[in-house]
Amino acid sequence: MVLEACVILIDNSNHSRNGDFAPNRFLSQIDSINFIAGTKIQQNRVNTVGILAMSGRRPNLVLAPTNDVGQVLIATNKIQIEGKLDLISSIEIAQLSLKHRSNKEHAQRIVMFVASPLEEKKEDLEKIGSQLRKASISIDVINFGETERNEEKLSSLIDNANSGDNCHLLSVPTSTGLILADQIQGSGIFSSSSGGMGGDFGGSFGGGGYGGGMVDPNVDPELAMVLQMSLEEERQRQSRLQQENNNNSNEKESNDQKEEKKMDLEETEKESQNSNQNENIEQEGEDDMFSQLEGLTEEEQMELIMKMSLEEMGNQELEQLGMTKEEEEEKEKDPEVQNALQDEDLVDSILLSLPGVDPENEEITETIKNIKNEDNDKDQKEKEKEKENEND
Amino acid sequence: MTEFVDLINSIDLKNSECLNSEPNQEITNILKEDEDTNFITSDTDEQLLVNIQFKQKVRVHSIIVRAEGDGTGPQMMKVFQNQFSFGFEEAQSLKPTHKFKLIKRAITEGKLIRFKMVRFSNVGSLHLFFENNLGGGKVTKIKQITVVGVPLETANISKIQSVEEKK
Repeated sequence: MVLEACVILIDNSNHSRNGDFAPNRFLSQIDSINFIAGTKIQQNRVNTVGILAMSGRRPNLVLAPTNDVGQVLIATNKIQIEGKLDLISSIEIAQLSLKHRSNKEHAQRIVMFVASPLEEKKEDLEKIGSQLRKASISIDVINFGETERNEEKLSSLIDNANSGDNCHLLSVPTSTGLILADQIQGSGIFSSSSGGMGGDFGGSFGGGGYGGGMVDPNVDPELAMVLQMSLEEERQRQSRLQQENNNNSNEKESNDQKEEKKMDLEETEKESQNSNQNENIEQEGEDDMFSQLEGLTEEEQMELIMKMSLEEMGNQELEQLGMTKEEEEEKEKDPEVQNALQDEDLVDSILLSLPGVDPENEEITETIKNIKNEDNDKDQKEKEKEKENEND
Repeated sequence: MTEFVDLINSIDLKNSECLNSEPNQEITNILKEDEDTNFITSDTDEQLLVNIQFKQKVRVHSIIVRAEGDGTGPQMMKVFQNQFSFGFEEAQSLKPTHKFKLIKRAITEGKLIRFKMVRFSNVGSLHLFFENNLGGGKVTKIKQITVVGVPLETANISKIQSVEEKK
């Protein structure tokens, strides 16, 4: 992975008020910047990204190069739309910022957004392109909004700055429905530096975690292992649930939907676990349940919540009985938990301890009965399976 | 008199660089011992800037610049020392510690170019700005650069022995 210090130049001139890129050119730049910064820092934790606002009284370095994505998000919110684009000075200031970077081993890069018609002369642009090349700074230009008028000047800038294909010009014409961040994602801006990994981040980046587990083996082998194990467990659970649900004809349709949602949720799950340590494998089962809640109707949500809380309460009971953690993991199959559920007094006491629940509410009592019946059914089926396995 | 040595072992190659060289060329082409096989060729124009970082402070006695005699060898060499983040802008605006106009014989035969040692008695980094070349063309080529001098007295770790061994 390339070690890189990058300064992103944003066009915050009045031409960015234009709404041809929804919602307007300025905001689509902000989006793209957040995306670019996130991707670069994800590729390598030591990469730094800075932001420079090109328009206004003078070009303003809004954010000095940092490897903290949070700072990038904060800084982009502070930028105002004002004034006219001052391209040459902006590039020179960016050059200065890169020259004084903290780690000299970082490769230097500028990413520049241009959304205004350029007034600078072509010769001046060529001169600054050569200057960048001399200082071994590579530059990527994203030309959008005023593409035809700027195309020639910007391509001559890129030609002069290019040495060995490290500079790119991305032109995004104004047509309906094009989203700037998507265009950037699919372009060569990232694939050249990282060898093709950039494209994968688009889908899973929303969650803010590792993309598809591809980074893990190199960066953090333990985390990769944990993710793999949880994937396996999830698949086993799903296949088990699938078998049970196929037998139960009433719930067949809704569970197909559940499975699809589970597949989608798998990805979001991986992302949400990016900060978890190894110990969290045991909490795996509970996390799955919580993430499923959003996809289900209110009734089913209630069911699940009741189920989970009852199981938790059952766990606490077991702890008091002095059982070890390993045995708690098999709580679903443990007959003592099932017995605890059957005990109405215990169930009532548990319900009272839950906030906002009226134990005498009819719906709740009905759902509890349903849960008990389901659990009993599951128990029986599991016992049948165990017997079959033994026979084999 | 103290012996002057080739300071090649005192050079911190990782933090040394050459600006405006062609993309895949490395500073080791001209600073390492295997001379004459690798060059540094200028890229955008005929100027070259070589920043040499030393591992410790040194006193510089002289320098040898080797190049071809075909007009691609450098002519005007400006020497700066102990600068931070030295680029072409600084090279053209600051006053150099030394200015040399190299002649063809000096670079083809590898003659010593003497520095005023008084001025170079405490050098942490040396910056050589080759402003133009002998032929006036667009490309400048350098084969080898050798810095001659003596490292300043600093703790020599290999000489530190435990008390028992001295007995």
